[in-house]
Parts: sequence; C-alpha cells; structure tokens
Amino acid sequence: MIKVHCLVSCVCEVIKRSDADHRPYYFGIWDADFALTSEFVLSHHAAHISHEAMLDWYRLLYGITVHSWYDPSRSKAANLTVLEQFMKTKRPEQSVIVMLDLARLPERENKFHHEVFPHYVMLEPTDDEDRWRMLDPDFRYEGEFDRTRILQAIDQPTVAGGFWFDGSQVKLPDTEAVSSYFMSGLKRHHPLTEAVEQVILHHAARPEKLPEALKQLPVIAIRKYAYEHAFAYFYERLGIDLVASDFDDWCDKIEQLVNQYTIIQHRAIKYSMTRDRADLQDIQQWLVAQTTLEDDIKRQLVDLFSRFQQKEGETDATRTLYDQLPASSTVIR
Amino acid sequence: MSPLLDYTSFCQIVEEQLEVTMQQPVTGGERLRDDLQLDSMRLLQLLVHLELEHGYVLVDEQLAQLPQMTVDQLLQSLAQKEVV
Repeated sequence: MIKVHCLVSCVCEVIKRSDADHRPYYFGIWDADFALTSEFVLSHHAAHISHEAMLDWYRLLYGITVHSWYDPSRSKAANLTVLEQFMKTKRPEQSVIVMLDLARLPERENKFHHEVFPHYVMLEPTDDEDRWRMLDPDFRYEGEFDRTRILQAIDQPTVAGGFWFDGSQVKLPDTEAVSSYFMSGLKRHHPLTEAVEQVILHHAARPEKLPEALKQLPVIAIRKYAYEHAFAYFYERLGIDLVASDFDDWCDKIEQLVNQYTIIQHRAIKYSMTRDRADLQDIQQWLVAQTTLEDDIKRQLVDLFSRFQQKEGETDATRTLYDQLPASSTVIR
Repeated sequence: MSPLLDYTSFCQIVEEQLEVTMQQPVTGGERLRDDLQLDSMRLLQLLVHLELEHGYVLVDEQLAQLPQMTVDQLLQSLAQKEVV
C-alpha cells in the first residue's frame, strides 16, 4: 500500500471495512490541489486549499456526509476545546479527523523529514482519558499518545482543520455517480508538471532557492499512484485479468512518472550548483517527457472509462479520444 | 567490484556537505533515510556533490530508491562518471 493523500486515506478507512469499493474515490487525486506560493515554492498544503468538493463527492458516492468541526473563524484554543468535548461524547461509529503537525511527534515515522508536516489523522478515545489512539491510515500506523502531546501537535500555527462523520451506513456507489466523479476530476492538462515548470522558470536566473522551492515535490508526486487504483478498478469492472493483461505495464508507467519527478528534483539541485544552461535544458526535456507520459496514462484511462460506460449501459456515449476533452474536463458527453 | 568510496571518506563527505554528525563507526548496513535521518533532498544534494566534485554518479533509474538504500548499497551503486 502506497501513501497517496492523507485525508483521502482517512475517509476511505471506513469504506475499506464495508462492501463498497474505495478505489473510485481515488479518481482525480492524481491531480489533487497543492499550492504554489508567491515566492514560487511548491507546497502540498496551504490554508486556502478547500476539500469541500472532494468531500461532497464522498457523500455522493458513499452516502456519508463529512462535517467540519473545525471553525477557522474561531481561535485555535476554542477549536481544541470543541475537539476535547467531542472526543468525550463521540459514539463508536463516529470518526474524528484532525490536521496536526506530524513533525511535532518525532517518535512517529516522518518519511519526508520535513520540519513542518501538516497531516490528517484519525483519533479515538481510550479507557484512559489522558491517552488518545491515533489512526494514521496513510502511513498504516496506529498507536496511543498522551492527549496533551496530540493537542500540542494540533496547536501549531501551520495546521488548522478537522472533520467528523458517521460511517455506520456506507452506500455502494452507483455507476452514474462513479462516472460523474471520474469526469469531474479528469483534467486535460497536468497541473503538477506545469507548476514545476513555473518554479524552474521563476528561479532560473537565480537558482540558489530552487532546491528549497521543490523540496515538497515528492509528497505531491506520490499522489500519481492514485492512477493505479483507477486502472485496477476499471480493469476489474471490465473483466480484464490484472495478471494476464497489460495492467503491470501501466503500473510501471505510473511508477516511472513518479520517479521522473525525483530525476527533475535532482537536476534542479544540480542546476542550482552549476548554473549551467545545459542542466536547465536537461530539466526542460524531462518536463516534456513527464507531459508525454502522463498524456499516455490519461488517454488510456479515458479509453478504459469509455469501455466501462458502454459495458454498464450508460446512454451517453463518451468520447474516447483524449484530444477532444475540454480543458475544464467537466463534461465528456 | 570494490566501491569507489570507503566508509571513512563517505562519512567525511556527508558531514562536510550536509553539516551533520555521523554516528561512528559506520558498518554499511545503515539505511540512508531511516537510520541516518537523511531526507530525500539532502541525499540528492549529496549525490550532486559526489558527481561534481568527485566524478561519481548514480544512474537515474536508481535515484528514486536512494532513500531506502543502505550505505553499502549506495557505495556499491556509485559509478565513475564517463567523460565524453
């Protein structure tokens, strides 16, 4: 299991324990929102990033409404009080999600070794009111912490946010909802590669800050593994054998896409040291390669989606040619 | 084939370039990320230094595996850069 997106992992945990298929929820996560600061620094998290649409689709697919218990208009202290009260009264079928700074819990594995690491986890009370259980589906971690230490990790200026939902009634997603969700999340362009290109161009003349500007690229790049869930879902729904088919070849391409971002990061660091235009050109060639590769992946996915719709008897035929997708990708009819 | 760098030289380069203190002695089995606490960006910075100052390179296909590598695996994988 590969880490893809922490909030998605949290809300999918209850789906995985049900009869519903969690994989459609990963549609579009390959292009999930990230931030590019005014200094052209790439960031996997920013206060302005809204998860509203993502959680609306969760309701449409699985029938579960996700509520925000965190109120950004109130103080952090007030929100912590709300959380503590909720933890005392919550029912077992209710799930609590909170954003905390994982870097404040050094005993937790911090694979990216970032000094600040905003991250969504789930919390459960224990028999001891001073201890809370932390469930971190994204990193497949589960363990108990002193309540005060978790509260300290939440009480950081770099993090804010939290949700709750009742997962007792999970609806099986219907084909129409799955199709609509797929279409809503498919972008013709590739926002991450485009953003990396903007970062490179912005820092090209004075590249000393370029390595720091791309430091969080690996955290965002792994979202591309969401493509694997989509391929596996469509292949299975189409009755295609994953082992005997070209499924592994597409997984290899997805892994190549992720790994090539590491090559770009490496070249960017190299360019920041050499300032050699040949190294800059090398980066640009890799960016072109990324675009071509992701074009191939999206095109194949659209073809699979079209076959899926035909098999499911969808009356509205989809265009199978990726080139005909509108820029917004909101409608393929 | 014997590695291009021995443990002593490797540790010296890491300490100088990344401004960290290495736990001594290094036995080779330490994982670069989880045991030596070197994040992916610092590892890439180290690689670029090894290439530019020492002429040692890691092939692109192995870059993504770098954080999971042990010291031995990295040292065994480094190759002399070809001069065109």
